[in-house]
Amino acid sequence: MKTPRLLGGFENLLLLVILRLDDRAYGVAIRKELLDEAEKDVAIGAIYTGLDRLEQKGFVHSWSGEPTPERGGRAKKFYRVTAAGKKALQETHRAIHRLSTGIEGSLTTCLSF
Amino acid sequence: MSELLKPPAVPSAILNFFAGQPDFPALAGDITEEFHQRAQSSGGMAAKRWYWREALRNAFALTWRELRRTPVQTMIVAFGCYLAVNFVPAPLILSFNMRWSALLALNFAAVLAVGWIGAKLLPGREWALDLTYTVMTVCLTLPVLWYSFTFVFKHPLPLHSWAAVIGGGALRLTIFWLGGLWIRVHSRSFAASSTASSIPRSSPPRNPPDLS
Repeated sequence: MKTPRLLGGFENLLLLVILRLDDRAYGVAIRKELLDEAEKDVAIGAIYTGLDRLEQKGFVHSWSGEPTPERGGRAKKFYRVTAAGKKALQETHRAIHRLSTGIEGSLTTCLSF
Repeated sequence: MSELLKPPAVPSAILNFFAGQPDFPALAGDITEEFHQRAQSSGGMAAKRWYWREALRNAFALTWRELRRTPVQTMIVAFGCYLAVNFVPAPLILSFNMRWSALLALNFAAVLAVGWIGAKLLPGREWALDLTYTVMTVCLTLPVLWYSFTFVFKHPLPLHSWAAVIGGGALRLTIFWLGGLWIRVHSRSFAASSTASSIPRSSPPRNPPDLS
């Protein structure tokens, strides 16, 4: 049986954010979504490091957008999750689900504190 | 107002130091875009404060990224530089009957040249090379010196001599950094940020890839 490729915590978050943003996923939007929904204030440089790693693994695809004056004439770099990325996300979530089955009581106790 | 507001020069220069890294134009564009958004919503001063904070935070993130790009290659080059700086000039220096000032000048010129050559071997990773070389020098030199003077020569180095050794070492490290960073400042990659503004603003967006 082939071992599923499980994602790290930050990679997991990045893929979820890119999926949520659909075709609007670029640096500023990803950072804002992480801050608003995950309450995680991450430097944009750290986001690009994670995205670069995901792209090397074939989990995301990128393309350049339009350069705009408010960006100092620089183009946006958009990201989209690939089929391999969605599969890795599913496998990771399945593993988390399997591991948390039967310990819902403990999780509830943990969360109540 | 925000149309005219420019990001502060010093943090911009800190960010531009990493212009050779992949994705830098997109990263710098993102920070500039958020700076203008904050200037509109919270005012210029708050936006400038935020820009300073982001530049410093990203400098750490980008340094870490540069160190992780090719760590083994960087360590090999740094070790090669360490050997070249410490062992290659020694026989040359010993073979000539030179004055101390000339010896020092020759030694510093050799360090500068080695820093320059090392940076040439690792384009875009000069900063990672300088940091790796510094850590390597400190970790290899100080214990060897302490051991030699304490157990081999049986004569512990007095405190003022340690200060001279550390001061001289720091000077050599600074010269090595100058040799390496000279390449970074004058490389094509460093100019990326200045050429970014020359991108035609009317260029059409490139389409997303069809992943289906």
